[in-house]
Amino acid sequence: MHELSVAQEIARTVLRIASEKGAKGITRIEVEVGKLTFLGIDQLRFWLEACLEGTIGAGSKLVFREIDPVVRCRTCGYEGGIKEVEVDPALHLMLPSLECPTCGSTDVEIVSGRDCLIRRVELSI
Amino acid sequence: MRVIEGGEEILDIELEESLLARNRELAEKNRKLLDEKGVTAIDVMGSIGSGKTTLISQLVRKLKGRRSIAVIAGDLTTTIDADRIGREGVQVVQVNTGKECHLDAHLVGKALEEMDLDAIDLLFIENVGNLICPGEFPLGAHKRLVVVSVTEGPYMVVKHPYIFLDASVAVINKIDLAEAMGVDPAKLEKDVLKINPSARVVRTNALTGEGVDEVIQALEI
Repeated sequence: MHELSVAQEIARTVLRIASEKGAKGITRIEVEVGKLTFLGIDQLRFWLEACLEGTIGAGSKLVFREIDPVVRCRTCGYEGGIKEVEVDPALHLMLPSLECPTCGSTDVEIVSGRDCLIRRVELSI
Repeated sequence: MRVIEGGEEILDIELEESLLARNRELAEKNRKLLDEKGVTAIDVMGSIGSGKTTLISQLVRKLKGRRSIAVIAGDLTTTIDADRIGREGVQVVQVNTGKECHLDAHLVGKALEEMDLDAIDLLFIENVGNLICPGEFPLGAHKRLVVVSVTEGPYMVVKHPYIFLDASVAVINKIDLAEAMGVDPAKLEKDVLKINPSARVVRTNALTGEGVDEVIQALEI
């Protein structure tokens, strides 16, 4: 949904870092996208390429990594992957569920999977 | 770390630059201000035409005798919703997002500056009609209420699971039209509870006020 504004923010950030380091070019950008965000990686790549066009970041290798959600159960202390449930067998659709996969408690919090981070920038100096 | 490659120097920089953190920080600031002023805030989300404004008007009508209420009405460009809720005689601040499809913590923070927070103890924030984008942008509200209605068809919940992960209360509205629409509200309710088992689900007909008392109980307001 907000891929363009997020892509603009990525471009602004890496170009700022590149200029601070006096780089001639940007060769690689690595971005992590949580699976519980509303961001699509294909759209993000498309917009980031567009935002970098005509800059020293044009043509840099864009690496996107999807991050699996992690939840923590306040009842049994489980920390790990989120439970998935099939809502309707006819739809073949698995949905995330905030129910603890081990003890069934509903007192479950999301630890990760909701962020979008720039992890690494590689610059040529 | 520095790597030298064939005469050209490569500078490799590790970062943890979050692109969504800015909104979260502003949301926390809003929450702190609301807590200081003793105001409970409810973020009302839902698709276009699901009945958010009608439900808020009913909630205000039922609660205004015992609570001091204000409403932030989010919309792209018009003041239609703010005018409708304003008829209930409470403080309403219109936030026009222009073309943006959701409210964010920055816009809500600006609205809070406009309001007399000392005069209120309950705030409804009507988000822009959309089941996707508002989910990414917490506003600092204490609870999130998601409204869907049977006229949107039987798949509204399963198509938009992420928005329900944060919902304290889900409202299934226009319950009087369920039969005509051939939509089973029990199925919608089951879908919500599968995704978020601790959510409270309430069926309403916001036009007549049916179920609105149950929404108030579910929100604990």
